[in-house]
Amino acid sequence: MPVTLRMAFRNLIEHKAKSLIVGVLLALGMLIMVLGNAFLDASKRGIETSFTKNYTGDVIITGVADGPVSLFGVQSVGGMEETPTVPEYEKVFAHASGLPETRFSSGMATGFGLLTNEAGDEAPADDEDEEDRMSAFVMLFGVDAANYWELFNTIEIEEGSFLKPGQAGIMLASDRMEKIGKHLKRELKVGDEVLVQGMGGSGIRLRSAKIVGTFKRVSDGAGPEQLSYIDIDTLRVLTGMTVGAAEDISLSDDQTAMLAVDDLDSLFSDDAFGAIDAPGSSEPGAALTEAGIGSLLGDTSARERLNAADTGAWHSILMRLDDPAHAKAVVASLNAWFAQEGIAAQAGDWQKAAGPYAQSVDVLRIVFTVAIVILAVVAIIIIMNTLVVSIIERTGEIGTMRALGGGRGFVRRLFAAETITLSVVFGLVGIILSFIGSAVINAIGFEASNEFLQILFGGKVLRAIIDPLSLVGSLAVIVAVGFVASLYPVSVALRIQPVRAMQS
Amino acid sequence: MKRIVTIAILAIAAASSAAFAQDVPKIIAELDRQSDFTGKDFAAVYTIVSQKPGEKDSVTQVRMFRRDDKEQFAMLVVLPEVNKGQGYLREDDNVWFYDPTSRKFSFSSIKENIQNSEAKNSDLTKKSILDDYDIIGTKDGAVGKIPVWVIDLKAKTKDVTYERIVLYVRKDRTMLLKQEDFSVSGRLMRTSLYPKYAEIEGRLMPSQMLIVDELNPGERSQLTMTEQSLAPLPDKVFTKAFLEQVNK
Repeated sequence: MPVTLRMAFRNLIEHKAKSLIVGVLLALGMLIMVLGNAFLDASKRGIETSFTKNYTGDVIITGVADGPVSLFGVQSVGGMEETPTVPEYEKVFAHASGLPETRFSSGMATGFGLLTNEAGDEAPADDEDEEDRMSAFVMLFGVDAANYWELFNTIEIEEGSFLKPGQAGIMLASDRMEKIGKHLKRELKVGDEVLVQGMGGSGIRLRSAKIVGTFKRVSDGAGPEQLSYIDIDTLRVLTGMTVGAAEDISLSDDQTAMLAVDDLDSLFSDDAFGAIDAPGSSEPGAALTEAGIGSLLGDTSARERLNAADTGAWHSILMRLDDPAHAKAVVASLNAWFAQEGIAAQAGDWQKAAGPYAQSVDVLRIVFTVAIVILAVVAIIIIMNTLVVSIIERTGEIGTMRALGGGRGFVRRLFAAETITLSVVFGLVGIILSFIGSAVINAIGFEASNEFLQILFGGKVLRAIIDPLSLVGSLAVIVAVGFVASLYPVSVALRIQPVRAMQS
Repeated sequence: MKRIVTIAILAIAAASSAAFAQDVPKIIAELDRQSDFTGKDFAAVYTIVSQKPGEKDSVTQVRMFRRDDKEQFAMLVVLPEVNKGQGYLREDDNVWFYDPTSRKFSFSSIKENIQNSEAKNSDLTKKSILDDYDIIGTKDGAVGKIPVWVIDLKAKTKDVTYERIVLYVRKDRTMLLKQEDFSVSGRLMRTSLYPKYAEIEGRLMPSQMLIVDELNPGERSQLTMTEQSLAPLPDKVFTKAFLEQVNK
């Protein structure tokens, strides 16, 4: 063992108290960094696993819109209503399913609905409680029952059955059914009908849906809680994915004149205002008689045609790959194929599919990372400060070494050896503490009490996964901190004349 | 002398202000009366054109039937074709929405928007401002060049659409020119303007309205009333059977 290192060890033992104080701080710094990284890693993996297994698969194909398109609609003006459908669906689906990396693929569409009661039932509760009121709002995944369930085998039926191909109905999460029943003031069970009010671009639609099953997820994690599955054709009608084309309705200038007015008060200027239609100035409505009720609307045949579900309309195609690591390559090859074929579609990974969820997760992760970095910086400052004080206190000792013939380089090497040794030893202690800490946290299994924490934790339980690479990185940071912290006080101590240093 | 004049002016101002404060309930009662067709049936066609940024204007035309004696109404969507036959019905204390494509009724509310427009069911029904709101403030103002009373009202009941409303009522003739609707938190939600009226048997009904969504800039709806009639309506109009029958 080189003499510098031997002396360093001896000095550390000689100054037990100081070594211990600095060492404990170094170990704590290490603990914060390793555990912080472990939480971030667990959170990232948890969210990715949760979304890919439960909602997004490995790759998503959507249509193209002004804003980013995800499983939850387009993120721009219009939102869900403006979500494009996948163009040339049959061709795109056949190509995506035929790729060698693809294990399963399925089409789907998304919408929102309000579960309510129909005539004859009691009026839904006028809930004061926001959570109860929100329980009636459901995110609807309109699925292709022929292959969707293969793609997401984490969905487990608790009662009833999965939606079957061609079957109309709705599947509700078992933990939400009770809440929905409370809001609708009736005990819901499999086989019951619920009225779903869809809010699509073309207005409100009502459809009765039979509850065919209740489900839970084997792999729980962060994600949309209010999710329900519904047959695709019912969803299409509810969300306005119908064959209805834009109608040209002729309007008089008078009926639209005010829409273009910028200065609203100008509507009341002397010239424009004051208009009171005299009695009888406009054409009076014809009196309605009981016999005339039947012919009030005229021909309604066009309505039936316009409201038929557009059977080729899907918002997205989800793909499960044999190896998720190939997702990037598959996305690139699909996008190249779309460009080559001139199809206005785009492929993306799970983060594109998760859309706003992935973004909110990113924001939370940034906040979490910043908090850990701040903690680490505070810990480093404290460590540096303590090191500075402990070295300054040894100015006399440094002076003596110099007086005995120890060169500046020797003193520098000696202190560097001391701090590096201290950092490595207590860094390792910190690592051991981190392993113990993460084992305890994983064993206790702190549960996320709300959706915010679920996103932060990357699942319903707080997990810590220690990555070997982050261990090496954290140890390097701690050693560097120790070394850098020793440079300044040693150089200050070396600037003092040996005689004066010995006197101090 | 100056002091006497000042005191006199202040006294007159205070007296007129007190007189106005006393008159406010009368003004509101008159507004309520103008929209109240108790004793008669009222029917009209409303064309609602809605504008949203980046979207084509959407058009909804509804046929409104009212029987104010019993606070009943039936509203039948005539246009667009895709929503033809949908309707709203107020029966007892319930408001129903009817979808003819599934022949289902669901619970709705007077507070709901008519189709995708900024207009709410309550905009086309009888007003009962005096019963629903307390007066919390009054002042002078102007809308454009027209002098108005500005009357600030706070809801007495939860059944109303907005917690607080501010009415701008023309001074020389009791006419509502503008209304601002506020949320519970005090945020301005909507501004409605009534620049054109129709006189129907001594009552003034807005024949054109502009409703501006204050939360979503650029979103507004213009309502135009035509074919108004006070002819008696069959009793059946105010039943669920009516909405079913018109769609047969």
